[in-house]
Amino acid sequence: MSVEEVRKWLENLCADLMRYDAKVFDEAKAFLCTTASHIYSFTIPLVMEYRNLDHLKRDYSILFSARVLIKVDFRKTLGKEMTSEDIEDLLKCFKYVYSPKEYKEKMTEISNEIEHALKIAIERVAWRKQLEE
Amino acid sequence: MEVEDVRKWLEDLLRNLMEYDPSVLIEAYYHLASAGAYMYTLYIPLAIKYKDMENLRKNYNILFASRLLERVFTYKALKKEVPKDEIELLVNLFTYVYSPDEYRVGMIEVNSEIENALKVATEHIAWRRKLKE
Repeated sequence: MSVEEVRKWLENLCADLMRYDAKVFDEAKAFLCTTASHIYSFTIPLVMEYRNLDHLKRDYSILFSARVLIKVDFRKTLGKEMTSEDIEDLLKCFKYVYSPKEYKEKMTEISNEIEHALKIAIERVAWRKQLEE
Repeated sequence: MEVEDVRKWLEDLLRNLMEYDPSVLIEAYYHLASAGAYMYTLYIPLAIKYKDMENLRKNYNILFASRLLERVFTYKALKKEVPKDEIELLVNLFTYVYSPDEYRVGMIEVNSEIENALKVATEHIAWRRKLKE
């Protein structure tokens, strides 16, 4: 799979995400950020202690998904579209971590992470609304 | 400075944090977790691409502080003290990342991150309350 295909996938993913409700988006972002931060608060000490960088790759799909949502959220808040620089920033992070052989598998993994986070976020927003009523 | 000093510092810090309002602790946790996740979405690709581990270490205080707050509000919600094995886990995470020479600086940095996050959280809560009025 080529870098161009990854770029195209990112552009489509971000364009789709731009249409989501801001509250749901914020909740999904919080979910992914807290999960990622919790995982890496444990992973980083292991990497330091055992000098094994492979651990860093293992859960990067969660962190990457969080970065996608953060970037989209930033533009949404400003009422603007994603720029080509935003896409290039995401593409750079993706390329640095994964080898071309892994592109397809990781794209699916990241799409699933985001889908899962949005599903949880929709449930949480509904639950909060119910609590308020 | 020794591991025993780190343990003592953590016990005191956790005890002090247990006095805080849970809503402030959660807000501070979200603040630190999202800051940590955002930084590491970029530092991990750099570490993998350029074998640059320094940023992972340098900013670990934020991830560590977020994990610590998460533990505090979890046990606060359970109306329990933070158990000894949780404190030992935090001691291990801290001492895996920092060398004994760095313990003091690491402790100051973590304290400062938590203090700042609690300040931001208090302001956020007040701002939300004002919006509702």
